[in-house]
Amino acid sequence: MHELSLAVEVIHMAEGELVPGFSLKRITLSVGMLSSVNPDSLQFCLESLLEQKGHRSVQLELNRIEALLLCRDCGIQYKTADVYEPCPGCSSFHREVLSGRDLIIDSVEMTGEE
Amino acid sequence: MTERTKKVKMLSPVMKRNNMIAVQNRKTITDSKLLCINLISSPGAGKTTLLERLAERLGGRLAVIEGDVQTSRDANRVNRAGSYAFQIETGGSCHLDAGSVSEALQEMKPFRDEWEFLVIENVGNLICPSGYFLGEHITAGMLSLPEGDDKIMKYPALFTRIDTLLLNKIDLEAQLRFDLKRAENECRSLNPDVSIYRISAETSQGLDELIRYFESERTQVYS
Ligand SMILES: Nc1nc2c(ncn2[C@@H]2O[C@H](COP(=O)(O)OP(=O)(O)OP(=O)(O)O)[C@@H](O)[C@H]2O)c(=O)[nH]1
Ligand SMILES: [Mg+2]
Ligand SMILES: [Zn+2]
Repeated sequence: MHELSLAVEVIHMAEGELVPGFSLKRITLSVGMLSSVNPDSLQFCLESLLEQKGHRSVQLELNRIEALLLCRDCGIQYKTADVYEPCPGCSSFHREVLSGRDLIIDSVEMTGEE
Repeated sequence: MTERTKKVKMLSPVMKRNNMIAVQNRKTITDSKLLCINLISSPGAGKTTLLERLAERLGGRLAVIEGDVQTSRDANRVNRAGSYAFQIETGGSCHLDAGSVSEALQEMKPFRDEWEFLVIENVGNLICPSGYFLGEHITAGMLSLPEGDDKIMKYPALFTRIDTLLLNKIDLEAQLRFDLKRAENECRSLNPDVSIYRISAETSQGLDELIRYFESERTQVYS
């Protein structure tokens, strides 16, 4: 259940971007396939915390990001949602994970009057 | 006054703050020429038993940070076996983060000159600790034979990230249907550079080799 600590950090980071007089409207996140983050659980934690902290009707967009692998045998890079799959080029299992481990805040949107 | 919408592009990893603290931890550790190992496994795989065996062999050269959810039992076990151990009570948290390790490091000061290795026993869990870099040189994942040879692919987030795989409870090999080759091949298929040790914390099988590996890593880091 580390999603709760992640949600706390996401909101802390989003609030850090807020311009005075504006309120949070949307948070967009990329959840890497290999980040060991459960998107549903993260969404639930975010919704609960946002409400608790008085942020009303913030839209959450969580996008699952496939892992990017590099085949050590034939050298191609490929994306996959399923690490059980071998290299599509040469069927090798000899590969390296290049990305897909991170949870990233892509953007924060806010509304206000000025 | 008009209603306006602003969009801030961030592209920031949520682990950013954790990782910045981890980099500071690394500096604290490096200033004292310690080799730091983050030991991760499911509950009961044998982390503390391994640390007891290492403490018997390394004594004052080993310092340990114990991340227990509650109680200081594991720290006491390591202490009795002959090494310094500092207890972090995570108070229910399912993983250690760089901040809690940073506080522990501050409280452990001054570091003893004789310390060469710092092992952090993470909270027993194969999922949550896998995303948190603590500042360690070696991330070690332990899998014990009774857990089954299919676990590597079930927890890819951890096993793609580790530097070292410790297959523990090798003394039970004859009683279990654990295909060591399968587990090792699956781990290498996710993580081609992983180094693998078959050990028994119970019988001490493989521990001399493991200690030699830690020693040579330390020499490499500080030469
Ligand atoms: N047969 C056998 N038993 C072992 C071995 N290593 C540990 N054990 C047993 O496994 C049980 C759990 O060991 P611990 O060292 O407490 O496990 P742990 O990983 O520290 O557990 P948590 O801190 O609760 O996550 C104990 O009963 C140990 O005696 C081994 O190599 N062989
Ligand atoms: Mg333990
Ligand atoms: Zn290939």
